[in-house]
Amino acid sequence: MTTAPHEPRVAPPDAPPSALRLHRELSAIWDTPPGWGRLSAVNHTILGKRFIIAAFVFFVIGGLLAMLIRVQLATSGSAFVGPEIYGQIFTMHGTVMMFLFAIPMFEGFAIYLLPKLLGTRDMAFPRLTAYGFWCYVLGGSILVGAMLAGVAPASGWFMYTPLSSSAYTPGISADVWLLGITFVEISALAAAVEIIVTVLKLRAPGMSLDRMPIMAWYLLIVAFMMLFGFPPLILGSILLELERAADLPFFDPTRGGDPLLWQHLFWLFAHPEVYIIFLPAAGAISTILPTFARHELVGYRIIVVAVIAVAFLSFGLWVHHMFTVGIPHLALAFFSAASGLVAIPTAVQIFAWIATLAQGRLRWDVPMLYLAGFFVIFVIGGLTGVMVAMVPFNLQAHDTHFIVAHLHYVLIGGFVFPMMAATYYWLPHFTGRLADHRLSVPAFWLIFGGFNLTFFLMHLTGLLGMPRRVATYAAEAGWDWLNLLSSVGGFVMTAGFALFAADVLMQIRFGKGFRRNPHQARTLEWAMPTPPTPYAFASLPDITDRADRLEPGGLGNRLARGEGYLGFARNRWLETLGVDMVSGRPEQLIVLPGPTRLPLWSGLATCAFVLCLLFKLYLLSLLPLIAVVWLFLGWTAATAAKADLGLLPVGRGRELPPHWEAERPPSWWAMIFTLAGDGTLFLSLVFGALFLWLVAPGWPPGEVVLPAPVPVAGCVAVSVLAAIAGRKAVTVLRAGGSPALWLGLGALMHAATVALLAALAAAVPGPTTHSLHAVTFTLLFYAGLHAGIGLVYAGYCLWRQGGGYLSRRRSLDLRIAALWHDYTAVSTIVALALAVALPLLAVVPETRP
Amino acid sequence: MIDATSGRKILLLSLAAGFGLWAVAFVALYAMLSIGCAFGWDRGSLVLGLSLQRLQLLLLLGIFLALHVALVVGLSARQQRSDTATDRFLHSAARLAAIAALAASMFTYCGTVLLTTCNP
Amino acid sequence: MLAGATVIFLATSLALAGAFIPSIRPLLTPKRLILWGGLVVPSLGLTALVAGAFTLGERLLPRQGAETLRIEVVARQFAWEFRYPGTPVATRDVLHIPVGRDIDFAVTSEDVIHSFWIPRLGGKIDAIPGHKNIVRLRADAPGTYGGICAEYCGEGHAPMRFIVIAHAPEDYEAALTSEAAR
Repeated sequence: MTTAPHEPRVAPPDAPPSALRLHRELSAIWDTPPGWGRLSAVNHTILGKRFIIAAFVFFVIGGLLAMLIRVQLATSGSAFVGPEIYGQIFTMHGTVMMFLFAIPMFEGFAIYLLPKLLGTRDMAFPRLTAYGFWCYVLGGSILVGAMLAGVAPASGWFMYTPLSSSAYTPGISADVWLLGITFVEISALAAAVEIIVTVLKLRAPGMSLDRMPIMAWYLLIVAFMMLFGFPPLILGSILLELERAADLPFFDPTRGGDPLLWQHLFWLFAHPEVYIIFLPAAGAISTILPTFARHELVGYRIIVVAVIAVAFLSFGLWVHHMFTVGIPHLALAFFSAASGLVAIPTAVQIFAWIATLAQGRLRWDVPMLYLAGFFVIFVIGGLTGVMVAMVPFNLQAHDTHFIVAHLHYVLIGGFVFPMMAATYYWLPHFTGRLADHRLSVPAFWLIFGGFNLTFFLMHLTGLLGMPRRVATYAAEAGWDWLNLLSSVGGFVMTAGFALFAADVLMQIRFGKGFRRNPHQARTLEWAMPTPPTPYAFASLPDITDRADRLEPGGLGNRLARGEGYLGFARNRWLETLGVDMVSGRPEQLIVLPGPTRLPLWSGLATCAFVLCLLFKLYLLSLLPLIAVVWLFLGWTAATAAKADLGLLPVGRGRELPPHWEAERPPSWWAMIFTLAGDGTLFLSLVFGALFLWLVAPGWPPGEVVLPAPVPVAGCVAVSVLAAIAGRKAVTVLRAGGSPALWLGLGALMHAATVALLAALAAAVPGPTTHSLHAVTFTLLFYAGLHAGIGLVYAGYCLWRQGGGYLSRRRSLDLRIAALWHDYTAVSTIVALALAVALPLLAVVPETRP
Repeated sequence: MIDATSGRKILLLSLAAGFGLWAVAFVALYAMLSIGCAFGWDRGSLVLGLSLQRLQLLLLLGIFLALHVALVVGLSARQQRSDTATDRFLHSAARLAAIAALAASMFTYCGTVLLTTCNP
Repeated sequence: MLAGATVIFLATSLALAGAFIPSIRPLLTPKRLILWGGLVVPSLGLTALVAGAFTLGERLLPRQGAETLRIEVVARQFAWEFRYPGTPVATRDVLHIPVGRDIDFAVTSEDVIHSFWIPRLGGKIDAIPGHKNIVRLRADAPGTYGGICAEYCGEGHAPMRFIVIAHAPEDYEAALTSEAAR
């Protein structure tokens, strides 16, 4: 063993401490300070609960808005609110429920449960969890604050242009949506990267992929969907905000833009979004149901395949929201068939659950009651889904209340009911108290009855022709009695949710305590004290079987006594293990950061930046932007080591390197996945450019100018050199030399790239005159931004080199930066190629009518 | 050692191979369809009463279906050689997904044979 | 479709119920349930449904034909304008059509996105600025039909309605002439 000549201490204590002493020692390291110190929390148990509570608050807000809608529609010719306010109400209802309730609610459950299910001590990037939380809460507050100020967005949650463009929605209401939601989505993307890396790298030793609890598969796949699903919308929001703020005509049909581009980008996100919401709920069902069926989940492998199928298929059906925009029949057929097809993997899951029940011996309890509600509602919602996937029927039902009914059957049936089941199932885990179910059953019947009264009838209202998003309707239409009954149902359902909330509060306050594993579940989250300790597991288990058929009771006791890995405290380090992503063989010791307020400050700085953009204080916005960059650089101080540690004992006779000396630590993978998301954003931009060329009216523009060849060639050369310098720096450092020269060269080349791109962008003729020029300008800006960040990276690496933080073993910073440099070079070349190709393509004569 | 682990990461990717191919086919067919409509390839007939538009789409579909079949065959052959339980699990799941994706491609893109390609 | 959905719903419920009935349980092996319930039955149903939808969709397409009449529809916040090619007539919020004849409506918008829909005559089509979309409709009985805007288009969305008057073929020209005189 290589021992460092000075601190830190690397050897574990000779004799394992007693369970109680181990608990005290680990708590002292992992605990979040009380009082104002709570703002520094980065622990997944705390942040998971905060996400869930905040999401529930937004659910209440969205629910109240729904009540206002039902009051308005209860009778014909209603004058409860005017159409302007009504527009704000239904827009905010959809926005709050989709972005501020559903996604964060599942993120909350994922953050709370995932490390516990995987047998590790925290998420891979605890500070990122906290930063995501602050982005979410601050972004949500901007939206709700705007609503209270009466300037909420009012163009529908889908924000179709040109209605949401500055010509038809002046003022800041649309900017509130575009900036606020994009801000919130940062948190969703952060969560996606974090969930992927956590599932792939931070499992218990021995937990190979085929031994993962099924929930981990669901969350892994959903996180990938988020990583590829959110960027199109983020790009769309950025483009629309650019159009509103800087008059770049991406969506303006009079200047070569096309409102259909927005619809494509929006639904390319928003349809996978539905499955992003449903699949975690399905994962919860696949976890809860086997416990009560007293039989392991049937068809584990086929379910994994089915979820993969759903994940892909859900990206191939976005146009079924756009069947009426005049797309050729064959194209509609692709989307229609894919929309119908997605029913099959869903049916496979449902029948696997039925098979599990048929194999086991059911124990009836409240979570199962809520799951029964799910079965009924979701199957109906799925069937109406197949109906509206068929083009001819869709042409009738589109934008009527039939769709409103369908989507609520799918979302409430497919998400809210399973989440309520999950709440009752894991509440004892949250609180350490057993449930007493006197109120849970009447709450269920109120919600279930009220729901069906509201939305089953709405199918009929829609078939009778009532369109969506109307503030009033005429009495002659004959929709009064249906709407009145729907409104009554809505209020019954609200009463049910109030009872549910009261019930949960009562159980938190008055539930009886219990020892361990009250449901006789067989997954790892029950192999720990409840309510959970901040370090989750006193020592990490060695997994030898599938992790949903374990004996958590006995295992929990052994782990508490420190008989697993890392059953000791050292150096005040927050330690956990990193594994090989396929086999689960432990390969590195991961030291996590402790409580810190950096995420809060970073979140506030980001919020200040967003507010500056919102109020059009562009010059001032540079200040918070610099603060954000500076704070993020501050995050890296925690992982700065000045000496090589070599192999460290991790218990059970094993020795592993700390993660900053490992070849593939979580942060390296995080960069890979971040770049994958970034690349999706870039591809969406490329798609947008080609789409405008093919479909938008008003092409070609009057003036077509090719970029000058010399700066284009020069720009390709310097960006490739920057990437080569980044790679050489790594090789030189690993060979024992100093990478300073190569780092300096890399910085220089990035600076040259930025300068050349700026010159090219300045030569683009009038970006506000035509979408071709606007798109070219944006492509160049994208590349320039990446080269600029590359410059920051190179500077940062030079600083780390100067501070003595780099060595042959500690080359991680350079390897992560090299990934960025490579990506920047590739995206710069593609952007330049497109900037040259677009003007050439634009003048090819098209023959379309 | 290093070879073994990198090989197994490809195994993880192979789970997504089948439906990844389906997605690429989707993008390719949709893109070529739009390009063909923009340039009027659907008008007139080239051979056997088929328009250029129909022919190029059918050719594309044929290529992708062949790739799908090749993937299923390839994964089935590799399945014989997996040694650990994890490898066997990943192989068989990837093969199942590839078969499902082949079926999905046939179902999703069958309209290429007959349906009207462009707005009149 | 409704009947089919009901049958599927009942069948799924029965499968679920069967899981609790001792005499049926042994028949419900996991393989059978997943294979038949999850794969075979839904695939067959979907294939039939999709084939039917494709055929119907092809029939609804507005193909070139001598018999069709063309009417231009222009939507704007918050009114509908109808133009009748070959005549100088333009009507606002009132649409005259002859019965018993396929009519191609060429729909566009001058400002934001609207959607042209006469619920009793068939499907809707979006009115998108910069695009001209065509929907083919046909009324078989004379009379008055209601038309609405089906895509949210701003504060005046709900009242953005129009009236469709379907005339017998012999009365249609007269109706247009009297509109022209107005």
